[in-house]
Amino acid sequence: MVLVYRGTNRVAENSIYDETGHLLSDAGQRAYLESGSVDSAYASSESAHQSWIDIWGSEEQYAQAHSTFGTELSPAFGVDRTFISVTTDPAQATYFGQSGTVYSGYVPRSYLLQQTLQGAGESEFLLTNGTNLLKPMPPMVHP
Amino acid sequence: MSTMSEKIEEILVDGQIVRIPTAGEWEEIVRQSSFMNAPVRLLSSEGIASHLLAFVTDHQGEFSVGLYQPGAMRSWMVLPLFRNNGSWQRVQIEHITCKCCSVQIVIANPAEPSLYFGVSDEPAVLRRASALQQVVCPKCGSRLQRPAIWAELTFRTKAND
Repeated sequence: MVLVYRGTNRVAENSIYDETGHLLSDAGQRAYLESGSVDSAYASSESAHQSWIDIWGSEEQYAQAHSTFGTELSPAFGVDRTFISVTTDPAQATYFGQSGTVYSGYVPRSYLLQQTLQGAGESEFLLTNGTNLLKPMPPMVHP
Repeated sequence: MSTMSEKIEEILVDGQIVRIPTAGEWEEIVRQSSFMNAPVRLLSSEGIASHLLAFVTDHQGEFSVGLYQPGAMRSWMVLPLFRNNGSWQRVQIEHITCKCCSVQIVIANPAEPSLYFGVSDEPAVLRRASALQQVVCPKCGSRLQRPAIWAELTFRTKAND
């Protein structure tokens, strides 16, 4: 098991967590907003994930594109992203969670895809589709 | 006697009804954790909501915080809005560090895709939002690494005190 953190100030992601206890990928968030069903959210995200693998040729290539292009990726291809970025570095999560929430929890190593993009640290990983293994940490004190 | 929900301002943003409580109405909503018989869940969003409300208080006229219920959500979601050329624009408030001069900046990013989930003709709306006039670093004038239609040096933002 690996202790990972995710900092996010995205309203939809946090609001859906509040309602479901799950941190969902963009594809999962959209499906949840449309259906109100966590099961549908995961199924839709899984389907979108396969579409990405088909587009890029492999999950590793898709992971590279996810990190390289960020939020520009989805509009370009018309498919919502299916990875959730997490880190083993709490300071990095706190930076990304400024004015938002930092989640943490132990995740099986097999659930994590190592971020191999040049410039990415060894602490950066990707989770696929969503998870209910991360819980909100106490509110942060802003610098 | 009118109820709070009857008095709250309603606006249309990208075809969705967004309700804009006043500061006093927000206090009541936060206290009750509900609005118009639906929960306003603030467990993990509490930090976001409290930060946004403080931020809006410091930037009255420029920013507002609304509530809307997209799709099948059973609870209300908070929606940061920026007054852009006379109309309200969805934005995400982000804190970034300028890659050129390393200064801390708070920005309004209109191009975060999840802001538009459930909006009618979403791709076109997101394209328009992404094409809005971008601002540069308020200190060094360099291009920012995130989309931004408004930016301010962080030390000027009381919400971060």
